[in-house]
Amino acid sequence: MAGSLLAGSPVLILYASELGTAADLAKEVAHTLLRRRLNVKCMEANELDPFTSLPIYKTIIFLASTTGQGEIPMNGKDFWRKFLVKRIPRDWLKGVEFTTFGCGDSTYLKYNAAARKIHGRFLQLGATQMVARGEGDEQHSEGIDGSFFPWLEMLVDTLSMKYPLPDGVEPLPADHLLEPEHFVTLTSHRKVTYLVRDVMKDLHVQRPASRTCLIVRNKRVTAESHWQDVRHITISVPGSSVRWAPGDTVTLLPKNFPEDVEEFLVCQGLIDVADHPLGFMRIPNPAVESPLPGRLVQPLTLRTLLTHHLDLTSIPRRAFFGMIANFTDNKVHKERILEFTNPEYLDELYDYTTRPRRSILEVLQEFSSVKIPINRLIDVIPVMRARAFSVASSNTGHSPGSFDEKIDLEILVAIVKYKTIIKKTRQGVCTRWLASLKEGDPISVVFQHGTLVPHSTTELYNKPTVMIAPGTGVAPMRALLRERIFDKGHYLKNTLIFGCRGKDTDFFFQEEWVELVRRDFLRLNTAFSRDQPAKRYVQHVILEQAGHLWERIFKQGAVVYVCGSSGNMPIAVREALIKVFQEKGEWEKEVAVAYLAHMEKEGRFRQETW
Amino acid sequence: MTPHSTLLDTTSDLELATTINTNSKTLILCPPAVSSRPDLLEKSLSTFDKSSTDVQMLDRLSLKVVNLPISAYSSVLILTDPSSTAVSQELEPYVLQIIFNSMLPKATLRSQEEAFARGNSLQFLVAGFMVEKDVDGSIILIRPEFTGNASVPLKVRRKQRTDDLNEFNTTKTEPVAATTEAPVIKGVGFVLNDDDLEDDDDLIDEDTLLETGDLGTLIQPAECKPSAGKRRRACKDCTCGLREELEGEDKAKREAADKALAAAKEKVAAGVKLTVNDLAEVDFTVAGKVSSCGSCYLGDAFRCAGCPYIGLPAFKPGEQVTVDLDDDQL
Repeated sequence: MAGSLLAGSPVLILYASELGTAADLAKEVAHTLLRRRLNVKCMEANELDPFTSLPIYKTIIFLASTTGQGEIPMNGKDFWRKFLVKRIPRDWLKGVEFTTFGCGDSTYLKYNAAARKIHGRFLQLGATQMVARGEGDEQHSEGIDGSFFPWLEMLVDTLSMKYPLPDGVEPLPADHLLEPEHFVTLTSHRKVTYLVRDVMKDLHVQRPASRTCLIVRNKRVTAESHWQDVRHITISVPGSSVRWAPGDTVTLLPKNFPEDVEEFLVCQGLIDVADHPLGFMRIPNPAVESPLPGRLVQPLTLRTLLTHHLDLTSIPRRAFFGMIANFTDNKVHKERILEFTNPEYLDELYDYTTRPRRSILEVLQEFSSVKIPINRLIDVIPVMRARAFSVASSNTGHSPGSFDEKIDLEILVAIVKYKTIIKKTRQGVCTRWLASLKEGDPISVVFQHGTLVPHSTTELYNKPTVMIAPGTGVAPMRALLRERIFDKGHYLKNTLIFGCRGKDTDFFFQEEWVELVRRDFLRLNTAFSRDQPAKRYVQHVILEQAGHLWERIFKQGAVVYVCGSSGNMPIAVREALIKVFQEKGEWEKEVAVAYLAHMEKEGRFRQETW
Repeated sequence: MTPHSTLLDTTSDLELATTINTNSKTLILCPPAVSSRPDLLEKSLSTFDKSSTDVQMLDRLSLKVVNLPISAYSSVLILTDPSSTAVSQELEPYVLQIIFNSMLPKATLRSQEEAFARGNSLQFLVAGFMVEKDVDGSIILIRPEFTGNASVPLKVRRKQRTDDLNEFNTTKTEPVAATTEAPVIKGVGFVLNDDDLEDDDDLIDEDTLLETGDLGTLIQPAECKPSAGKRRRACKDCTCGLREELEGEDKAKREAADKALAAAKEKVAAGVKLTVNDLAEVDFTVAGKVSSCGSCYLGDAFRCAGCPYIGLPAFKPGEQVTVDLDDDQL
C-alpha cells in the first residue's frame, strides 16, 4: 500500500463474524488506519495460525461478535481453539499490544462474551492493552456505531501518537480512494447467453455446504386482516442428504428483485453492458482479505452480480459517502456528500439514512450524478449477507433414506414491512424475497448447527423443559417439542408459554398445540396481548404460573428456553423469573439473581433472540 | 442468608463422645442434596462441637451468595451427596480457592466420599493443597504451612505473573510450581504438539476468563440520556417514550407532506393523470406550485424540514415525476 510509513510488522486486524457485521467493521478499521498511512493486514481469524504467526505482529486488533450461548463465531473457532491451548507460556504475547471490539446485544446474559473472552486471553498471555475495549450494543440508540466510533477514534488517536506522521505528511482524507482489494472488470464485448430462464430464480450462489432444495409451500399464517404477514415456509430436502437437530438454523442468501437491479443499472448508466461477461480480479497480498461469501455466481455479469452479491437496498454507512464523492462532477452533489462524511454532520447523516431506512439504491438515484466505475462496484456496495432462520421442524425420527425420500424443512418468517418518512414502504431484503417464493421455486440453503438446544444425548436435554417463546420465537421450540415427544419419548414435563397479538390473528400452530395439550404431552399457557383491554405478555404469564414454574425449574431442574424478538421481551422475562424465584424461594433479590446466573452457567437458561 | 442458623438448630442431647478438634473451628460443607436429608446432616454434626462448627452449603459458595472467613478453620469436612458420588470432582476452582483461603496453615480437608481426590488430584494441587494419604487410605488435603501470607487475593494480578497457572483461574499460589507446564520453545513461534488440540482437557476453560479473569478496561458507551450538542435517538429497546415520540414526529411530518402534496395536486389538476398502475403523477413544472427554496427537486438530502416533497424521489426541474401513492396499511 502506497504511503505506508510504519516500519516493521503491520497492524493485524482479525475478526470473527457470524453474519458479517464484525467483518464490515474490521474492514472499516483497516481503511481508517490505511488513511493514517499505517501498514495494515486484515483477515478472518481462522485464516491465521496463531502459533506460527501471531507474535510476529506487535499490534493486534480483534473484532468479534458473539454467537450461540456466548461463543466465538464459526470463522474464528479454529483460531480460538488454538489460542486456548494450556501449554502456551504466559509471556508468549509479551510486547504485543492489542485491543478488542465486540458486536453484541445487551439483552443477552452473555453480552459480548466472545470479545470479552478474547480480551481476557490476550491479557492472560502477557499482551498489553493498547486501548480500552469497545463493546457495541445493538440496543444502543445508535446501534453498534454508538460505541464503535468512539472506540475507533481512540484507537486512531493512540496509534497516531505512537506512529506520528513526519512533518508535511497528512493523513489521507476521508474521500481519498484506497486501492480496491479486488474488483470486477468487463472481459468481452459480446453479451453472454444465460442458460437459465430466470437469472434471479434459477441461479444460486454456491456457498460452502449449500444445497438447492424446492419450495413446497409458502403459506401466510396470520389472519388477512392482521397487519403482520408471517409465512410458514416448507422446503423439501432430499432425504438421504441431511440431518438437523432442534435449535439448528438454515442460512438463506437473499436476492435483489429484477426491477431494483434494472433501476440501478439505469441510474448508473450501465444498462448497455449489463449482460456482458465480467472477470473477477484480486490484487496479490491485499491489506484486507475479504472474500465474497462462497463462489461468485456463474455466469458473472453486472446483472447477476447485482442480483446475487451486492446489497443494493442496505443502508449506506458513512464510509460509503467518502467513496462516492469521488465519482461525481456535480459540485452541489459533491459538497453535500462530503458533508455526510464529516463527523460534525452525524445527525444529518442519521436523519438522511438510518432514521428513514434509506437504501443505497435510493441515495444513488437521488445523487444521480454519481457514476460508480465498474471496477469499484464491489468495493463501494456491501456484499449481500446470508440470514439465519431457526428450523421449525424436526427430522431426527427419520432414518437415512433413499435420495428420493423428501424431508420437510420448515421455517417461520415474519415479513418485514414498515413505513418511515419516505413515501415508499420499506421492506426487508430477505423477507421480501422469501415472501415472493412460490411452490416449486428452487432455494439454496445451508444448514448451520445451533447451540440453543443441547444435544439429545446429554443430561440437560433430558430434563423437563420450560419454553418461553412469543411470536416467531416458537419456531425452534416446535422443532424441539416434536423431537422430544415423538422421537425421544418425553411425553411429560413440557411447558410452553406462548405469546402473540391475538388468539385469532397470529396464534401460530394453534391446532398442533391443542392436540398436544389434549394428549397431555404439553402444558400450554398463552398471552394474547390485544385480546383484552390491558396488554398481556409472556412475563405476566410467568408471574401467574409461579408455582408451576418453581416446581419445574427449581425442584425438577428444568431447562428454560427463551426465544423470540430481542429488546424488551428477554429482559422482562428474566425479571419475571427472578420475581418467581424470590417469591417461591423466599429469597432476597440477589439470591434470585444469582440463581438465574447459576442456571445460565449450568446451561439451564438458554436464549436465542433476534 | 445464613443457612446454618437453622441447620444447626439441632437438639441439645447430642453425645459428644467422639468430638474432634474441640479447641479449633471446623467447617462442614454440604452439597445441595444433603439439605433435604436432615438426618444425614445431624448424624455428621453429632461428632462435632456445635459451638465451634460452621456449616455452609456448597452451592451457595459457588453462587457467591456467601463467602468464607479467611484463615479460620483447622479442619474442613465435605459431606457426601447421597444422590451423587462425585461432588468433590465438581468443586469449581473458585470454590476450592475460597475453601483453601478459609483454612489455617496445616488445616485438613477431608470428604466423606470414598473416592475423594483419588483420581485427578491436579485441581487440588493447583489450588495449593498438599495431597496426603490417611491411615485408612483415604485422601486428606492439607494447607501447607509455607504459603506465608494469610490472605490470598482472589483477583489475578497480571503484573506479578510469572509461571502462573491461570488455566484454572486460581489465584497465585506458590506451592505448586508448574506441575502442568511441559517444556515449551519460546520465541516467535510456539510449537504445538499434535495432542495439544486433541481434547478439551488440553485447553483452558474459556468461561473462567469471564468469571475470574482480567478483562481490561472498557470504553463506556454513552448512556440513554440527552447530551449537549447531540440530538437524542431512541434505543432499540426504548422504554422512555422517545421512540414513540420520534415515530410520531415522522408520522406527523409524513401526513403534513401528504396533505400539502394533495393540495398541490388539486391545484395542478390539469397535470395529474392516473396511470394503469394506480400511480399519481405530479407535475412539478407548473409555475408557483413547487418550491420556495428551489432545492426540493434535488431530493431529501437537500430538502428542508417541512418540505411537502419529503420522502419522494428527486426529480429534474421540468420533468414529470411519478409518485407511488399506493399506501400499504401498516
